[in-house]
Formats: sequence, C-alpha cells, structure tokens
Amino acid sequence: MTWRVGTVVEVRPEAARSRMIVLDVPDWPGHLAGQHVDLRLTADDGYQAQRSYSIASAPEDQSLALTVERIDDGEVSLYLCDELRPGDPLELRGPIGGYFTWQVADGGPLLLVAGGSGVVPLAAMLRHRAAHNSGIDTRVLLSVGTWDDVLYRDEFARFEGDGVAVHYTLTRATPGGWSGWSRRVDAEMLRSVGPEPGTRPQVFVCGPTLLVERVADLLVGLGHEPGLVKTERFGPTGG
Amino acid sequence: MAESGDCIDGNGIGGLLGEIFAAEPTTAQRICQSCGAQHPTGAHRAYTGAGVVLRCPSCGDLAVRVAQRAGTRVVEFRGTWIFDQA
Repeated sequence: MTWRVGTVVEVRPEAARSRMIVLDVPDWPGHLAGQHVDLRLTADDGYQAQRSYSIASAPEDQSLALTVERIDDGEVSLYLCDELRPGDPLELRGPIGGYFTWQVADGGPLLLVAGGSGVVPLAAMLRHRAAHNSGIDTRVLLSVGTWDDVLYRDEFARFEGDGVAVHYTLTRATPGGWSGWSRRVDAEMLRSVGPEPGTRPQVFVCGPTLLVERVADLLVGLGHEPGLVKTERFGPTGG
Repeated sequence: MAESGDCIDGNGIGGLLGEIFAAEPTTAQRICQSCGAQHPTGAHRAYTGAGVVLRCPSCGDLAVRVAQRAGTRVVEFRGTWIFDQA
C-alpha cells in the first residue's frame, strides 16, 4: 500500500480536546465507513512517527476527515492538534481494514458502542446511513468522561429519530440536571439500549482495549452472536 | 523430491501469490493450528512492540510474527488462511 501526500484543508476544534482535520488527498480511492488510515510524520532529522486514525467522514463526503484527540503526552496528536495548519502536507496511507466496516447494504439492525474517541469510525457509519436516508434501526451507546468531551454532539442530535437512538453515559462528571447514565457500561445498560439479541443486530464496539473487551463479553453474555460483534481496540495508549 | 517432472518453478505462480498477498488481509479467515478455531484476521489480538505479534482470540497461540529490519519485513505465518478472491 503506497504512501500518499494529502493537503490539509481545514483544522477545527471538535469538542473540548479534539480537532477535526479535513484533507484533500489526490487520487483517494474511496473508503468504507469504519476504515482507518495510517499517518506518518517525518522530522527534519529523519525521525519518523506513525499512528492510525479512524476516518470520520462518510464515503459520500467530498473530503476525507479525521478526528484526532489531543493526548497530553502524545507526540503525534500534539503536532496534529496544535501545529498543523491549512496548506500543510500530510503523509498517509489507506484506507485500511475491511473487517470493521459497515454499509447500508449490509443491513441491520445496528448497535454501535464506543468509549471516548472510539466514536469516530461509528460516526462515519451514521453519516453514511444518513447519506442514504436509510431507516435501519440503529442504537448508539457512547461512554464519555464529561459532557464537554462528547464528539459530534449537535450532529448526533440531528440524527435522532428516523430509527436512530443515541444514549450517553458520563463516567467522570455530569452537568447539573443530568438525568442520564453516569456509570461504566454494564449489562443492564446494554439491555436497555437494545436491540434484542434475537434480532441478530450487527454490533460494532470501538474504544480503549479494556472497555472494548468488557462490552464484547457483556454482549455475548446477553446472547449476541460472537461473530456479529466486531471490535476495534485503540490499545492502552493513544499518542 | 527427486521427481520434478510435474512441478514448475515458484516463479511460475507469481501471479497467484501476488493475488493472495494483495487481498484484503483483515477479512481473511484463519484456522488456528493450535485450537482449530476460525476467526477473521481482524478479530485476532495484535501486540505491538519492537515487532508485531498476532494471536488467536480463542487460544492465544501465534498467528503471525513480524520483525522489521532496515528495508525488510521478516514474517512468520501460522495456521491455515482463507482469502477471498478479489
């Protein structure tokens, strides 16, 4: 797979600690919702650092967009969030990973569960679904530290209805008057979000490794088919 | 392997091998040599460090080991692999 050089079109804040990076990539072959790219940064002395980032944009969107969470001690994310400017070149390869993908043609119902910035590839699926005016029954459960950390909040609110239900659980702090969940994802929560395992939903779980493993185990315990539960682990650290 | 009348050179199946190595790797199914479980590569567990080790999600046995050296990749594949034809 060849490395390409894209050009940064726009960098804009996304929630409290993230940036949306919009890229123009010549000869981009197109992607499926859920896929990722590898980014490679090269310093003046030749030192290289490489990271994977999920694609946030839908296949139908004009430009390729990534959402990068700012990790305080992460060398790559600090550069991407603080230094990168429109017009800068950015080296990338992809799209990567045909396994953790969903298309409208794959059908539903759909259950999307994410921890933190694990929501990014799931957002691409929701955008793809919206681009096709699909009415596929879609349940979303997002575990986030605080309300200010919630990515794509307004956009997801617009997706609601029309077969999409978005649920949040805030695990670090809740705003005044919060009536939603404020604990780690558990079986009771997943049962309440649905859909029923008997309807054989396609399930996508993305986030930090510990959350992904716990949620996948809970889902299988509730009766979901292991082969229909697809996971994408971010690993113990970002960067 | 003294009888070589009905074989050809590996070079001769370069097209077939190229097709396999160019296939989408994460949806390829792997049957574990150790426990027999079948999973897509994308559902295996990857451990990254100086190199990369991929392990069976059922039993943890080795699926792929990749070592990186300047300009090369040294790769060990284990188990049986099923690739979709493009």
